[in-house]
Amino acid sequence: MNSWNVFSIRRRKNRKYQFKVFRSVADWTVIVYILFPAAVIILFNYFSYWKDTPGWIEYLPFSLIFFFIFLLSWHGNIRTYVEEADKVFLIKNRSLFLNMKKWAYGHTIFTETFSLLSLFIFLLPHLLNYYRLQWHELFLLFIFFLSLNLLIILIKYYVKMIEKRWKQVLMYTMVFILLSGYTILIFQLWQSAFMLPIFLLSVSLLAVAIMLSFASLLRIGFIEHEIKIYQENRTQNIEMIFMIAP
Amino acid sequence: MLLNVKIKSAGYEKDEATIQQVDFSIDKGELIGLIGPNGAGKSTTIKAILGLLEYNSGAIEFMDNASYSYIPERPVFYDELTLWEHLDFVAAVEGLDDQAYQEKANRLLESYKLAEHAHEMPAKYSKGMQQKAMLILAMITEPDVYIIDEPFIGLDPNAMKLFLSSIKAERERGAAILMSTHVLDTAEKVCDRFIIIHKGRLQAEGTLDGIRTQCQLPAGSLYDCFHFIAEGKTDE
Repeated sequence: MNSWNVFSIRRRKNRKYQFKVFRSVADWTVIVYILFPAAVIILFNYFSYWKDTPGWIEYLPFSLIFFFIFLLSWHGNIRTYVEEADKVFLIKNRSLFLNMKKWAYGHTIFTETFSLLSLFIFLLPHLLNYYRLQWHELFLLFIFFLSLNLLIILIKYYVKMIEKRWKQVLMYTMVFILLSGYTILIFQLWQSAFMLPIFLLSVSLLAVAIMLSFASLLRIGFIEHEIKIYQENRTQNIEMIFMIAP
Repeated sequence: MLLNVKIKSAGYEKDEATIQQVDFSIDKGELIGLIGPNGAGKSTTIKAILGLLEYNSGAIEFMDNASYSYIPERPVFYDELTLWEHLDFVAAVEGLDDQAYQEKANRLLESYKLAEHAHEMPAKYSKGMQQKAMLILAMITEPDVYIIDEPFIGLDPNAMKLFLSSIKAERERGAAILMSTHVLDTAEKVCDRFIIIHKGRLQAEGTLDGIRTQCQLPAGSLYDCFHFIAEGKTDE
């Protein structure tokens, strides 16, 4: 058994679990009468946006779209796929355990990239037709928000280690203010058409975020924390359902 | 020597040491009792040995790449695996020979009367059965060192007898055992040496006679010595 086997078994198991959670709220009636029509309407509108720019887009300045993507960059977490029983069974084979976590982080990068790409595809008709962005500008924007997202999930990984709730809130507030400032700076550079500095800053940040994440995940001593955040990740959809349920 | 422990300080938060200056070693075939009141630092010591603490200064050396098995106080299993699948998983992780481990697994399952339940999820077992399953999963790898946290909790008298005889056999094979326990009368009978921890520090170490000397209780039981260290007085 190698680390890829361990990781892929866990990923499959997690997908099955999430599918069960989804099916627990979305039975056939919900799928047929709510989700399917909603998907058709969204797709219909999406394709119509490619032909005609909607009137409401005039009320949305590009800075608002920028801020909207910034807010969505806070979504997501580093997926560790570490389970409590690993303390007993898997950790004995350190290289297997650590390599499994490397795959898990690789999967995190893939998932976050895919999510951001989906968002960009969703916004693409407006970005191209109304805001008149060029493809290289879109690529730059994508790299910037991906680097920001990977940095944010790394910061969340550490902030979640803080036991006291008020300290967590304080840290999140400080990080939010700092990263908002950084995003405003990037936006101003964007408006001034300083593309190279944005590219260099984004690529540097991306490299630093990935390197620091790998370095953090290669530590054994964080295992209790990693078990906790994997459990939180697994059950976050259930918690969301409970929150929404009347 | 199989395991050499020299913990300067270790804990869960930076600059907040839960245990300090805990030094001891374990030789082949030895059974050492790790004793101390609740919150003394026994589990932290075990976690430090296993490398599960982020803040740990000192050195933990498993000599000659000695292998270990850890049995936690509370049994933990993978939710979706049966006991037999756990055995397969452990064998795969540790690279055990297929035929040899299957023969040993069958023998252990028979001894611990879990053969009929091998294809069930351990999460659904009773506490005692879970403890037995943990023992089987630890023994299947034939480790050099066992690190066992409170093994007697949840075991019925028959299972306890079986556990003690299994431990005896493993010691005869040359395995060393570090066992944290509150069951002092049993520990007094089976352990070669004791490590008494209190308030995160090593308070006494050695054979029962050595501990008695350190506590100035020449005729005291292990419980008397423990009580003396924990409360600073005898019962008399």
